[in-house]
Amino acid sequence: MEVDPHLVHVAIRWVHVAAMATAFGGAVTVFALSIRPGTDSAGAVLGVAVRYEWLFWAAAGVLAMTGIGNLAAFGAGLLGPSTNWGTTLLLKLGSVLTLVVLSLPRTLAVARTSATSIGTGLIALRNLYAATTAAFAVILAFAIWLAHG
Amino acid sequence: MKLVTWSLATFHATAFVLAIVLFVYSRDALGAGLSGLNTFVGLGLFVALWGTTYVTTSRAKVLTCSPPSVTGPCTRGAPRGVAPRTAWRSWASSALSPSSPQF
Repeated sequence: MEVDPHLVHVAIRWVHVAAMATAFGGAVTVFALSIRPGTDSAGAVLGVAVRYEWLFWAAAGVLAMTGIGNLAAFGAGLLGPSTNWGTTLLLKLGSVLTLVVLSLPRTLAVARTSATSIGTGLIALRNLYAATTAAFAVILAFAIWLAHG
Repeated sequence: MKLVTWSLATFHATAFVLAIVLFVYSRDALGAGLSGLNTFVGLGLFVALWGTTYVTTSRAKVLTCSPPSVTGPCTRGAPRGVAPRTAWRSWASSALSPSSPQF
């Protein structure tokens, strides 16, 4: 059975956007929870953060996989790195790689922290997710420019 | 399945692929390379890489931790090369603890 390539590429793009929404939305959610007043909710924030880390890495894998699929849809017509579009793509890929590399220490820190030991470390958690949210916002800006700029 | 194993495996797979894509695209050779690749084959290759990386990461963690653990420190019976990871975990653990001077 022949599958319509256009349909496949639309589906891959949809999965890519859904994974980005999950990763970005999750980071915003954990950050928003961590800036609530009162340290009694630190354990709850940590619980949400641990669940988010599972989702984040799943989304990272899916984003890398479908991102290459999106580039493959251009085929030989993919613009080169010397063009404005290509330079922006290089910046986006570099930003994504940086985010992935810097996310590993964040995940290990969250995984090693127990609900009873978080205490005032909530500030560190808040800073980590603020940085993650900011990085995602930059990547999203690049992606919007690449798609519609 | 443990979070540390899952994150390490996905990190290795995605960083590896992203680094290659970044390098190949900077040499203006990505379009030609991807145009000859079937979409489903490409997706399948990535899933295979992801899966095998997860399996090898799980096995590596079992082999380098004695007793086998993915959350505890790898000290007793740990082979050469594990010490930096143990040191990192100690730092990561203390960084978020209330007694840390940076808070």
